[in-house]
Amino acid sequence: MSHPLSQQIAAAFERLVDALVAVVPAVLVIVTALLLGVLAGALLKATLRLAFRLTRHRREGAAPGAPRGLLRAAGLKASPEVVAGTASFWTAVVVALAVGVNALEPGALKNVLQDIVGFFPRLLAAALLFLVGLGVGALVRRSVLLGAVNAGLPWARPGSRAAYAVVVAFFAAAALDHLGVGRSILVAAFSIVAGGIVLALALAFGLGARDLARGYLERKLRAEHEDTGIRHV
Amino acid sequence: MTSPRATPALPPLDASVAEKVKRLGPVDVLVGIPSFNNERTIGHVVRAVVAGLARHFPGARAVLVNSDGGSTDGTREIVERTDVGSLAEILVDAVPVAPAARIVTGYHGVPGKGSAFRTIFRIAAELEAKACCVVDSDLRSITPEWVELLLEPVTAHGYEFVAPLYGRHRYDGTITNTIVYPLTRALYGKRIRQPIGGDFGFSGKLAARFLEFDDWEGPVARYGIDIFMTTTAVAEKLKVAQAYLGAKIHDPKDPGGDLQPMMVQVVSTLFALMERYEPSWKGVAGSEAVPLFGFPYTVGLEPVPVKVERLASIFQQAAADLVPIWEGFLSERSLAEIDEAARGRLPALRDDTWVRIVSETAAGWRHRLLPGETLIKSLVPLYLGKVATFVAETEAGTADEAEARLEELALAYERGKPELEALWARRS
Repeated sequence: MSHPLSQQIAAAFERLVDALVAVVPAVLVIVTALLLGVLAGALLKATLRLAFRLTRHRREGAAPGAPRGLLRAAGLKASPEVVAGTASFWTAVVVALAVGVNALEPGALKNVLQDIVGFFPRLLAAALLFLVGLGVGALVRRSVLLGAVNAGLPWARPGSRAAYAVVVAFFAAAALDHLGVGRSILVAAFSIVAGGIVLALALAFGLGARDLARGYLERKLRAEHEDTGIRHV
Repeated sequence: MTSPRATPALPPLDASVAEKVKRLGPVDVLVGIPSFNNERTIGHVVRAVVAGLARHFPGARAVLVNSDGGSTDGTREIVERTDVGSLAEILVDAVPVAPAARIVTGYHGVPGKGSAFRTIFRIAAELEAKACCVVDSDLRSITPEWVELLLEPVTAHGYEFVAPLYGRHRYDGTITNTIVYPLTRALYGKRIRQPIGGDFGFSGKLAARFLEFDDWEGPVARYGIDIFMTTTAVAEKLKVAQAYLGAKIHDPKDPGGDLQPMMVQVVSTLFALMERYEPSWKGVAGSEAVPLFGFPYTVGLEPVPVKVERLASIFQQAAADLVPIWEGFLSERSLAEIDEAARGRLPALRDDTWVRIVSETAAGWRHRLLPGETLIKSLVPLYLGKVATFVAETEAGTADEAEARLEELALAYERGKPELEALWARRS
């Protein structure tokens, strides 16, 4: 009774070893692809750094260009050189991995890895979308804050924060939608919340606080026409 | 002269205008009037200009050019039809060779005063005008003598550029008083008291030089035009003068709502020209007066009622809310001094603090620490704080005392020039 069992166990182990041995070339391919990707990424990053340095050297004394201004506007303090270098490095790594997976023998492992690697671009796109949202949100927050402060409106800070939250929430929802995470729930939730806010504001402002609304609008319109008296130019 | 980049295309002229220009041939003097819905005032301006040309340049071939931004009222018709009436009373014994010709035209490009001027420059170049001047269409205090005072330094004394000098209320022209005049003076070393006055005299050669400018889509096409003209003249070391024109009374064109864009256009042009003309202003220390034409006299001025509490409240709110933005380009020292200045009932922004703030803003603009528009918009409440400080300091004093206070501020800018140069040069 024990003889066939030990034989079966030994056979199972043999199959496991065979399977593991069969995976070795695939692992080697993936590791090689990863190494090549890292190498290519590093090379690309170094080339970009050199190009930036050369450009900077040529423009010595001139003002920094628009890319830095755009990044600053979006609230990113990193230089365009660092952002471009990092982005190109990781792009090279992902591309190399995709090529490596593509080179594998057909099989379950290839399918699994293909699914994982195939998910990367969507993940990157969603991350990029969210980052863009953060940048746009920062721009909107700043614009609302400046406009409201310069107009002497008391709600400048909370107003700018609310504007930021709305923009970031919109982009976060779009990023999650892109990933396919709870798509229908997300759309429904976003619509309900956005619609609810608008309706609540309209009701609260127009009906619940009719007198307050009238008073506020009158004051607001007066304030818009209120001049400091100064003739600036 | 700073070498021009690619020669920009000239602004197009309408066929009828081009034909009229061709028919007129070369002229001696040209007066340009930009306009947009100014039917209430432009008739008076046209009468003053035509009378001024007849009286002071009777032997000259003269032309009046109205460059209009698409007025929907009767502005253009008024320019075409306004009759000066009998000149006998003002002409004394001068008899003009011919009445000044009139060209009324629209302009192409970005709507704004700068685009209107560009078309005037183009017509001046086509007509080979020897001397030109431009006057605003909303002026109520212009007299025929303005034409003489702006043109004669060019026609008779060889000046290339004549800036106006007015009697103005102490709270009229506060961007000029707190930023544009003292900064231009400290940068280029010339005391031109009204660098964005709006009424200028200049040679035909300089008009052609203005046309060589390569960015007529930006702020220079709008309110930036005045500082562009003045800076070009002083930075290119041309022979400049001032002309005392008396009181400047005009229709108000800058209610509070227009402050932000106006400030952005004027100050961004100022900073952009600092980049363009860096070799011209680096190393310039102190300042000198420029020759003055006309006889300065005291004028009665319309009162400017200032709501200093509103200025103060905007400044104080900004001091509480805008620090995260200011941290992007102002030093810790400036931030601390702003905080201190905002603590009282009325702002007390010291001259040295204000000068440092402007210098740090210019450097922030130069090094693109924030987008230019954001930088300048965030300067607005600080400027209002400085104006409130000035009002509080000078409200009870005389006009001369207020002017003396502005002279102190201008000297503070001159003292702060080395720091500005260092900030400008330093990379962030």
